[in-house]
Amino acid sequence: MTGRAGLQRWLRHAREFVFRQRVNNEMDEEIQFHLDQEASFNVQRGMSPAEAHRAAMQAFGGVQRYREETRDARGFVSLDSLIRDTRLGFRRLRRAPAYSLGVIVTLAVGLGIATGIGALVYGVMLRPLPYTDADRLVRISIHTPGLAVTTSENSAGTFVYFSERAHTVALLGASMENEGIAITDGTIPERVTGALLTPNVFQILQTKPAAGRLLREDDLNARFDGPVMISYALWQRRYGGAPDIAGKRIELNRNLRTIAGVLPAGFAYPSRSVAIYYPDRVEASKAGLSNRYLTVVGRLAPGVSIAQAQAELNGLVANIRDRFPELPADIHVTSGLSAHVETLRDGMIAQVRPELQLLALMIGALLLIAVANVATLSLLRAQRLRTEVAISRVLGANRRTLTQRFVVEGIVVSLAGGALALPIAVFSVASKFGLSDAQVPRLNEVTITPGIAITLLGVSIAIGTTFGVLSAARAGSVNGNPASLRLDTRTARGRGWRRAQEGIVTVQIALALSLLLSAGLMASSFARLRQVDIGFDSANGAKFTTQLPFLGYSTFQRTAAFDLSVIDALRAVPGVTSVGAAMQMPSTPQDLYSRPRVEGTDSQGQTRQTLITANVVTQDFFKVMGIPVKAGRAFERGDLIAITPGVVLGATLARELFGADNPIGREVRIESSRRYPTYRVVGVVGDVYSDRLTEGVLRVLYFPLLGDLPPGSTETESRIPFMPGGMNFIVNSSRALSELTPEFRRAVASIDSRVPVWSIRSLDAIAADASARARLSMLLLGVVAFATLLLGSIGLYSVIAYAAAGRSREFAVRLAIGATPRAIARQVFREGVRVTAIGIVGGFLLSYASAGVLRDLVFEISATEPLMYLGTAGVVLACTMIATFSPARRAGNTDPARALHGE
Amino acid sequence: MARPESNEQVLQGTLDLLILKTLSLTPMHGWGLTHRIQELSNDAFRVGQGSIYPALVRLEQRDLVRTEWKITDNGRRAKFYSVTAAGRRAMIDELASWKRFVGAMDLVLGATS
Repeated sequence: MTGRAGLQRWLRHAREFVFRQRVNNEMDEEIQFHLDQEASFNVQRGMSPAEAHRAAMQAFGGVQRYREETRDARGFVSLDSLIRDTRLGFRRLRRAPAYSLGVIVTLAVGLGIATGIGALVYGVMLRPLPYTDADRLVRISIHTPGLAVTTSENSAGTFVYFSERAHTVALLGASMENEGIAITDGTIPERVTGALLTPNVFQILQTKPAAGRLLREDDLNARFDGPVMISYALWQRRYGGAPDIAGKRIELNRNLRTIAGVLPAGFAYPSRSVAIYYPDRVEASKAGLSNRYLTVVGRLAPGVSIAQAQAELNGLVANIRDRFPELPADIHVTSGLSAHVETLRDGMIAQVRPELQLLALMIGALLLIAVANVATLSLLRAQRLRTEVAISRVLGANRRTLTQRFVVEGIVVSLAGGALALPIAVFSVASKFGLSDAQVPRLNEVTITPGIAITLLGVSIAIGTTFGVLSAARAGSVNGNPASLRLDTRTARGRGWRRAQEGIVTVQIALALSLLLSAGLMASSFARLRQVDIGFDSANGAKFTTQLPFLGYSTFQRTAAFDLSVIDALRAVPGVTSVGAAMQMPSTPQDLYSRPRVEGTDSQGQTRQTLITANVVTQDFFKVMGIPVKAGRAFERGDLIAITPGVVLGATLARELFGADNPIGREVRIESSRRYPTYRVVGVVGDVYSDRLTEGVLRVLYFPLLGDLPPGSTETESRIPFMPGGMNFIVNSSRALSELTPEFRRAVASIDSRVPVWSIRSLDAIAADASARARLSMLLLGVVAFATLLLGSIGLYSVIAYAAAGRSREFAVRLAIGATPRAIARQVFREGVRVTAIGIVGGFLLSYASAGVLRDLVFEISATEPLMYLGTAGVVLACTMIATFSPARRAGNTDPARALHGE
Repeated sequence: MARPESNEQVLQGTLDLLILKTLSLTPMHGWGLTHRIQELSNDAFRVGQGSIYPALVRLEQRDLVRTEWKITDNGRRAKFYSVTAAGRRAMIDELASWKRFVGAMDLVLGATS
């Protein structure tokens, strides 16, 4: 039959079913017509009316029978009996609460959590970005493992070079974020993030403005009050969404600008936090591989694949010296320069990829366990129903009817489970698993869409149908022969079948163990993170951040003078005991651009190099932060203006540069610093971390910021390779943060009222944040591991209980010939333990094989921790023993007389 | 639901063919159809008259016959059946295989006698 004919037939079935009252009436009318016709025919042949009627009925041969057969032929029977079966199914399921509850709980927990996590993974990882033809958008990154640069951004040189020569990428745009934008009109200066970008970025992303117009190439020629665009959020917040926004003036870092237009809501390139967009032009006369700050986005030319674009870029990278001959050939080689093309989406989620991969694996494992549970429960039930089914078969039920019955039952329970899973999924998505937007990009776009809900219910139905069919095949594998009635679970023939069941449960226990182990490792990693000495004393500490505009603070002297004046103003605040300032705060994200390479030579003349994290700190920084001085001293006046300026090293950096030598008085050389390449170590302090504790201690080199230079000094160049224009000020005070906040603002405003103050936080909060990411992964894994263990225990319980119940005759015989109830219980229990033991061994192997996924996520802990393995095995064993205990006891309490009579 | 197999079921395929053949001559209602089949077969087929109705429904569902309510000569509403083009094709196929079957039976039966 062709598909179309099949469809037509199905439609007719449906129509006839919907109008079955009318169809039935017509059938009755037709039969009545037939009988009347026959009767009058008989009358014509000389019968009396009564006789004629009787003869007509007789000739017809059973009106009711043919009416039913006709109805059958129409296919009503399947739909009618479907309703009947559903009703019967409900009744039967109520009589088997253990089975029904087992399946419903399994699917509600399993599908609910899997769907919640799945929606998260889909929303963040798999869903297309909200740009036209988003799968054609690519990000190009640059890698130079041989250089002292850790960023994967482009230099102006590589961007210009690719823009000029690449044909596989139709358009290339560059952008660069700048956090230090202050909106200086209005009463309170507001600090926002800005982005400089080439105007073609909007063309690449095919953006449509919410108001006004997009930036254009010719905007780059504007001299004064040049155009900028603002974000939708800023438009709403600062201008109340005023429709006449285009053409309004805005003062940014004390420069007047004109608002050309507003970006649409949800526009999040280069990141969600950008509020001001400046047009920018990128020019380059050299490759500048160590000066990289441009984020590059492009649109693939029509018909070009990522692989083709990658191949072209590889060729271009190899020949970059054609364009920039000034790039030394040896640097070109030793830098290991390479370009990498990936879709914009991959680029955006790269930072959370390990977590998401783990989540995806967890979903897989959880679903597998849930399905295995439903399989175990359904098949065991089918096994028990074999006798009943065999009786139905002997009494004339056909295979189709029986299959329908099992399928309907399967769908009823699995749909109930799926329906309960939906609120669990919605709740877990609403809770966002405790994640914040800052931790996971695109998180706020995650929802349970109707599509996901329908898929969830569809999966439930598929599971119910599958196991219905399998159960029917299992239960109905007896034929209609009465002899098959003897063939039931109580005989030895069930043994192979039980082995299969035990196999399923073994796999479940293995999966549960391996998930639990992962959760345990994460938990122990988290516990260690909590114990880590973050290297500073957060008690009674508070900080805020400022950013100086370039205009008015273009020299080191003026910038330093501002910073030192703020420190003096803060010292005068009542209740403040000490004040310090630093370019970078420990336990927060570290600026990637401040990572030069340094070199130190020890007393044996051995030279070592390493990448460092640079910081610029004031005299009292170590005191106010409670960072201990381990050797030498903290900064003192004179360290900055010394012929060889002084620096302080973190303990780990000191050890890496000078080995066991005393580092005090030794010199370090900084590759990128030209005028003052050499510094003298005056002290060694305790180690600190970045915001990611799992990455280990930072190798920090501290430069001094001291009031050494007399006011009016003509020296304009900095003696340190950094401009302290954006500083964090830290105070020690027992006063509450809310009391200190206005004091901070007042102190800064007393020096320069147009400098914004932001990120006012207690040091305690900073310390707590650092472990948040680890806490999240652990929490998620914990939820899944718990669900898995629960489901695995349900599975084991049902297998043991059913198997024990099915062997009641065997137990009865043994009890009758003298076995003690204890011995029977012990035997059942032993079998449960045996299954568990095999599962545990399998789980160990599984965990060992998948340890790589975890390695990136755990801290100072081996992903193959032996103690953790033992502990997890103990938990699993305990759970499964509880699951085994009551069936074992029940087996021991079998009443021989009843069990044997029951045959 | 399983019913013992009857000779009616054995004759099922044959009944379908008889109905198609009869209807291909002229459209008619169910009662007329039973009588025409009996007439044409010299009363050889004396199955229950009702058995043509399930058969007609099955044929209708396979699009081999179509139905239409019409007024009969004596002024009553009756359901009239006629053969579709597909029905005609099916009938020709069935007839051919029927003839092959009969021929084969003849050969075998002729050989043993």
